[in-house]
Amino acid sequence: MLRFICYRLVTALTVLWLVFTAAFLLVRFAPGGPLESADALPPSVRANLEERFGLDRPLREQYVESLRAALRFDFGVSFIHQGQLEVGELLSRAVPISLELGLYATVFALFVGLLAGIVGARRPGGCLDRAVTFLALSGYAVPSLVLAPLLVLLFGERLAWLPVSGWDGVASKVLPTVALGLVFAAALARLSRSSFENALKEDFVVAARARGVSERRILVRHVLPHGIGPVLGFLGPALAQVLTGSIVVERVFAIPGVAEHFIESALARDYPVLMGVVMLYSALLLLLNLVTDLAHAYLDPRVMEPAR
Amino acid sequence: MKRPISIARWLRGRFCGHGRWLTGGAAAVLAFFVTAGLAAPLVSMRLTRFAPDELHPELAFAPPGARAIPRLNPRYDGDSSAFAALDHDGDGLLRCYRRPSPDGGVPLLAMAQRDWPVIHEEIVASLERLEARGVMVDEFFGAVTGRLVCPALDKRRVLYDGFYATLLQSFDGGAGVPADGELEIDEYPHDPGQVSSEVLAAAEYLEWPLLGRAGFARLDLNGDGKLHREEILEATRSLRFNPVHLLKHHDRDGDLAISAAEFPGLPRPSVYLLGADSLGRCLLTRLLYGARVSLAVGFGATALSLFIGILFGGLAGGGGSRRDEAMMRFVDVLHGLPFPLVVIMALVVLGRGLWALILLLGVTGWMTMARVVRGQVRALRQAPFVEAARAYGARPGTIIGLHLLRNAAPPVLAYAVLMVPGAMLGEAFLSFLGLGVAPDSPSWGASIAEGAAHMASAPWLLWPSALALGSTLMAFHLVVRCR
Repeated sequence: MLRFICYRLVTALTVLWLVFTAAFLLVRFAPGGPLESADALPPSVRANLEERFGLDRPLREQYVESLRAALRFDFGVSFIHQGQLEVGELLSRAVPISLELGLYATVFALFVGLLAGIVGARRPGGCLDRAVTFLALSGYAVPSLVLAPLLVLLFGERLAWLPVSGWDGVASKVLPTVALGLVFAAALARLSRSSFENALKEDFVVAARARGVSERRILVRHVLPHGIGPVLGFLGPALAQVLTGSIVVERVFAIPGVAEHFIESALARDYPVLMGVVMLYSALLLLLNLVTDLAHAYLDPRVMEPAR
Repeated sequence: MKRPISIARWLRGRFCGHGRWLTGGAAAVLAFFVTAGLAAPLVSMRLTRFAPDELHPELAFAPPGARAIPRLNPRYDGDSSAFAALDHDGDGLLRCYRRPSPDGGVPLLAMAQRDWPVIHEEIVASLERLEARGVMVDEFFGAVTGRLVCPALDKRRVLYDGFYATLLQSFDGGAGVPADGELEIDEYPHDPGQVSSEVLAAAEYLEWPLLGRAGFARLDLNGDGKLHREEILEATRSLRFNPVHLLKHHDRDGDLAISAAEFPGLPRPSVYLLGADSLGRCLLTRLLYGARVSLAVGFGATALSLFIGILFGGLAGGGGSRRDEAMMRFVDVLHGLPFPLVVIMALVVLGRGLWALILLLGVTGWMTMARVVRGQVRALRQAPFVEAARAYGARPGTIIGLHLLRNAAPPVLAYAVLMVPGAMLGEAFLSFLGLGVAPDSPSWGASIAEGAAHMASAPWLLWPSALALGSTLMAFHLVVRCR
């Protein structure tokens, strides 16, 4: 187990380092850098600016310096906002909101997805099963990109039940959570349905039935822990989709999360913020991947052996 | 041993067995959008008559059913009575002639490029041909831009302009309807006594419907039963037409002039079947061209991913265990990257464009394909028929080509088909954020973003692109659905 954890940890850190290096090189050699548009500047001002942003030192020194800074999660000062706003400060305001949204969506997706999976697996080919399969398929067809505006149109504009923008109060959090979580729930439903269907055919279920254990107890105590393994294995990669979806959802619902800064910085070529967001999301994603993998390995130790 | 599946059998299973209606329907949807994408230029010229980038600012956010006169490829009303008014030198021909104008005139090509931002190659070519012969189509352009001095036409133009310019001041608030800056059918002049006799004479000369319901309908371009200032302004420009188009399609005897017999009449407004976007562009045309972009990115990125994935997976699966291990660890490492963000960052830094998008989505999407290919190759190289082939001394090329590739093809292709909607979704996602192919290029993602932004005021903007994207993604998954 320890060896497995170490291996995964080293891999994650390597990836993080790779992302950082790639991002650093991209930004340094990008056309249209922070000083490109300012070629009319007098040389003294230019030198001053270069010194301030540390662009006058050799590349290797810059790299080591910014790597060190990144380890302290210090990505410098945003180019826009008149150089007043630190990236760390900017993100520390936005990150909790995005995390909250992601958490709600994940919990919602797990609840709906697993429930639909169990319901579908209990009677394969039945009415409910077909409904679940349809839900799972429409999850592919209706990504957050399409679902979020449609939800706003239906519940916000036509029925006017729920507020469609902002992030305060319970009511304003319902639609974003559903818009982000439902797509994810569809994928989970599909996966957990087949996984539970296999688990229901196992000998121990037959044995439990023979012992006269109640159907509900079989589902909760025997089938659920056994069938949830593949779902956990899928959770890690799926979180990347949640992350992408959250950018869209935050934009549609005007939630003051990380996505807003990310898009704004991407359009304005605000490299410090862009780099900060990419590193933050990478770190978050790798951490979550690690956690789900460990949980998966804890539940199903066979995962740890390299099955190559 | 399990018999390897052939593609023909797989297809038969999909389209003849249980659930063939679903698969068939999905395939029909796909065929529809592929055809629409491929035929977008043709359909937009023949059906919608608008170019994807053709701006009609007066019709911004117009609902479905609004009308405008297409600049590039209008339909003509077949009514030749306007010919006399256009033929201001009275020689019975609308001619292209070289005009020794005091200001030298604007070169034809430059003028055309200014007036029609999107010019199809053939039209550019025909313009260049005209210019090479020292020809300027001033008579047409004069009618279009009103720059030419032509007493007969200009007098009528002034009369019309005066009539339409004072239409709102004179009649808004009449017939018991409150004055609201718009003209309704009851307020519109019906009686010849309400209009000066000169205007009436000019209208009669051109057989131009002026009064009553016919005159109202001529002006009410968006068909909402009210005349707005913008609509009236657009109507006064309706003598506009595209001289190049006229020459190209109606100059039957090839003398670069239009005679009364050849004259097809005045351009008719065409209908915006799905409404107009924020810049007054035809939504249906943009939807069709969006299919083009979407499918180009989907298939292009998939082809690239397929190539890299087969190469990488084949090298890993075909080699020794140490090489295999190292290469697959590399894939694991890459798999942990947050690719949407990396692609966005690369697009921002390196610049946008269709090829950049295909390249980036392709380069970041091959990892799972490599895993699939590697798994197939590793499984198949142990298969009895491969050992048998090796035993009777088949060359490695034969083994790879005949046995490995052919038998690995069905799962690899099935996965490749599933990668297309992934890449399409990637393109839509990036366009949605405003980071797509180009700021103004037609794209379903960009269209959804605009529809989402103007949902309350213009709900018809959202549906077409959302449905198109959704049904295409669904169709891809249905065609290759798992049992």
